[in-house]
Amino acid sequence: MSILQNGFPSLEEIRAANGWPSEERFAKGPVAIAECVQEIPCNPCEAACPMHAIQVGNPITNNPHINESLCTGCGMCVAACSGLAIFVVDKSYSDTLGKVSFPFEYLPLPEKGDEVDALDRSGSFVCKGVVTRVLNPARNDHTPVVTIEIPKEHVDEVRTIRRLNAAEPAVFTPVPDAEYIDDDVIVCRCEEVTAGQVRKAVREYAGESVTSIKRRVRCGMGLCQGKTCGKLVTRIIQEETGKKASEIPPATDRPPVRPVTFGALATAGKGEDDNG
Amino acid sequence: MTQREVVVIGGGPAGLAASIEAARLGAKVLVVDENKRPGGQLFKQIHKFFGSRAHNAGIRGIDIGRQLLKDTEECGVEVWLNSAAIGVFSDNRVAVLRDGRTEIVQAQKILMCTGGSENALRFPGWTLPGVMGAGAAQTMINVNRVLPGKRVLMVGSGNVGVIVAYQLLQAGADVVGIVEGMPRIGAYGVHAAKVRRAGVPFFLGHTIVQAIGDDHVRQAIIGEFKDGQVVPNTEKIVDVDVICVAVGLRPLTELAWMAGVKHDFIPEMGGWMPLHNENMETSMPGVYVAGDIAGVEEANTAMDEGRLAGVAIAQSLGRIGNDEAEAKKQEIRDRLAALRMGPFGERRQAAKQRIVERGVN
Amino acid sequence: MADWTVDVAVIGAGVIGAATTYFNAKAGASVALIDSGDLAEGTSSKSDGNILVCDKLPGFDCLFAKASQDMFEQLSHELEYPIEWRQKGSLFLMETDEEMEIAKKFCDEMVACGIPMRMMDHKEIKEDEPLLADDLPGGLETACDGSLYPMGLCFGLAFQARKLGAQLLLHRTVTSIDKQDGGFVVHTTNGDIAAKNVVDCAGVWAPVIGRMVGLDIPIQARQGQILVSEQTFQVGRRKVHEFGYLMAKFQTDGYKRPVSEAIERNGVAFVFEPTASNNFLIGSSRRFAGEDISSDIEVMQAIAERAIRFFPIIADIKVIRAYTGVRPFTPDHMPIVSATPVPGFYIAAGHEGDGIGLSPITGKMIADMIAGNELMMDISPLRYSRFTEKAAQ
Repeated sequence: MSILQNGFPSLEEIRAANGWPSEERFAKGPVAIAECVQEIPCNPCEAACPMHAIQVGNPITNNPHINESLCTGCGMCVAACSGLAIFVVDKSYSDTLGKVSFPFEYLPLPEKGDEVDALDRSGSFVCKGVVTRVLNPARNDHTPVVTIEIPKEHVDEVRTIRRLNAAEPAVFTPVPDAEYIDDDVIVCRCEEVTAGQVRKAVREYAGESVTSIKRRVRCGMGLCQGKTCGKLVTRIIQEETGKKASEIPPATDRPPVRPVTFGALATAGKGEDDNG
Repeated sequence: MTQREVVVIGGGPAGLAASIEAARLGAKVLVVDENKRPGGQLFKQIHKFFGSRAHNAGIRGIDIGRQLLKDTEECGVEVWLNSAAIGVFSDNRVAVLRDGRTEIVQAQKILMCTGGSENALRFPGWTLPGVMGAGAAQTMINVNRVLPGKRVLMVGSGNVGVIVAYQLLQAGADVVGIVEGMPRIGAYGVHAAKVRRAGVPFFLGHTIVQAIGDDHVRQAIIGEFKDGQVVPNTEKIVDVDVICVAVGLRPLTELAWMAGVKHDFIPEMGGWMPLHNENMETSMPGVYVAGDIAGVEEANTAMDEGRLAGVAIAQSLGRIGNDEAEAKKQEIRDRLAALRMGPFGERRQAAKQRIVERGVN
Repeated sequence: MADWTVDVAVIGAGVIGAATTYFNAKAGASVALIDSGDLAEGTSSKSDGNILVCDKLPGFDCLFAKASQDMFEQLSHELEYPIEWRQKGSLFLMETDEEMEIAKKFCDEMVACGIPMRMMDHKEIKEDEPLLADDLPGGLETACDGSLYPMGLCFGLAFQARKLGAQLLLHRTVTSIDKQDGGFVVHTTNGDIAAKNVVDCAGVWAPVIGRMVGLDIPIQARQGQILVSEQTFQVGRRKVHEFGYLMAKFQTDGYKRPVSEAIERNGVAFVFEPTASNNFLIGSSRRFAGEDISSDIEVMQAIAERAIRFFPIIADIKVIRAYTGVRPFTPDHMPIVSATPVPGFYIAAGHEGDGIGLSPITGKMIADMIAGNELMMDISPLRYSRFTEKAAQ
């Protein structure tokens, strides 16, 4: 599935899960499109629509369906969608231009008339667009809805604009000769115990549990009492012995679960009685 | 020694929801929380929640937190803040560090809502400043209002990783990529789609190989990941100043182990966790669990599990008739079942069923 | 058919079992060390690492301890695993003039036994440990005392023994022992061991093993708790404890310390031990609570209270962990290191809080008994039969 591989749904996925307005409907004016293709437990869109055009029903993991004949393209659902997955598309705007409305929760907000970079679902540049409206009423609860106009042929692809303060995409440079020594990696920061020492405790000193390794090389004996390294030690035991995680219980927990001064420990509480 | 009817350890969503429920039914409840304000992780959840209307869907976590605090106050729940439970001892005694003293509170019922803790990941350089848990980064930006850095690599594509990546973008950072060892994205598609259209690439089947820097992380190396190994000669380097690690959470179980509660390894729920019955009661009579300690899920399930425990506790104290209690509990269980439907929820639903079936005796 | 055939089967892989294994292996015997769990999993991982003669009674008790203490220097070179042996002496602190009196007499008797002890006045102890409380009348120094990492000692002995050919048969529980062909077969949950000799080093659990060959071993669990500090600056340079510890240990009547009821009830006495890892251990408590090894908050509080009494500065340092173990207690506070009416069956157990310190000499004595060598000292006070003789009287 595109959503699981690419992080955005394909048109086919959207059509199958949510439906897609007919060209007749597009010709009549703006219409909402839900792009919510997985079965997740969520239904605020259903109640957000004043026209009762959106149906999720029971169970609430159903995909939302928008009834195109009831939908007026008002956009109330756009800000109401927790997943920011509803858009309003207007193909009736002009012969050459269409409009797309989308939720945009980034500052600074664009202003009407700004020329912006219109991006598709993958964040790739599609075309230039012009902001025609920025709606941010209190009922949107901090989810502004931005509308842009773009060449009509792109309205099915464009779903957002580039953030106004976005940096250039990062460059990932191949480093085929990257080298490191895992044995030197610290596992327990409190007691500065390395992966190599933990391995030695398993290989040479018959350590087979988090507790037994703690006794041999002190990992988990420091200030945090193994809260961080417990899982890391478990992982190394698994790597070394082939045991399953379910066969490796955590180290014994002992009080106090937070460090406490001797003074505070020695000072008894006021012994407030329940007066109720 | 101080006596209380019900002591709730942890004032996050589960603990507060439970306290409100139990208090409204007439139980005397004390919540102890180590933070200076209750609400747990809710106050850093600035995104709108999923769920149905019954689950506050469409409302931001931070606003749900505010409502819980208000309800907590209104129904007379006693809350001790800056008060860390440091141990649970025989006879249901809880030691609480408070005002520089160790207060020992004996409770008829103990409810543990200690939440979860982020897992660490071992790679060279993971101890460098700038490498942090995604949850820690989220606290920095949404609670403390400090940007941990400008260029972030996110490790882990589950909901936490992807949501925090989105919030880092909102806070003004750039996310150079999201690395995921599995061949597919773990988060809800709608979350993934938000960051994807913002231009954040996913590196599936990849892992973090190394963090590089002297006093602070300056670069990250990632590489393709197959059968638990980095594929040789696939490494790539990128400039970053933050690496966020979002490789899952585990239940925070120290107090439960200490209380002698029976645990089991439930991989779907984050690993070792206390077993509980359909009333959220553990193998130790009078000791209950709810929320992430009883299996890592999300805030909505945590709150409903808390409510379930709250009703069960009030029932066991005789504050509510059995018929009324059973009806209330069934309603909550039905809501929980609804939250655990669909491809993301059904594994957790099955795991929960297994936990209850395994039994606490 | 047994899975292993050895000269000596040692049951119990705590420090006494590890030492017994090591000295038998060193003497050329084939040895199997058997335990239901890991090395040092019971009492030996819940102890501190003090190697003391100062808390023994004048006479055999202190001479036996001294002989054992004298073996550590060599052991620290023989064992490859680091045991962190440090011999900086120890300091008893007296809280009242009455304690000073008792200590003076005690010191004289110990010196007469050849123990390097000396009394120190208030000024001397403050020079020695500047962070001590200001109102303490004096102290008692024992120059030869030392400390080490107790689990390290266990590992060191066991792994060195393994190098000498001993088998470490861990994670198998002994289920029964049969007498067979002039020796024994030790049955476990994972294999049988045929052995000419069996040594019961199971500490608190020695009576369970004893019953398998019809012996009644009068050992009882006596619980103790310890607090561990965070890594910190040097609070004290060496082992410091209160003289009242002796009275808590030996349950002496007649003298009552000026302490709170919780301290008295839980047998709490101040013990401070700096470790090689820059933190320190604070003890101690002694109480009978069955085999319960969960720490109790009341005892933790009493130990902390008592520590602050002697080192006020400790109040601001953090406790990161409390741990609790059970010591193998005998009615006369002396261990059993002995042959038994069952030929070939030996007992080395019941060292209460002295197992770490007494482990080398215990192991050596058992090895010598099995080999038929002359013992380096008369250890008849440690014979098993002393309890049956008493019962017969």
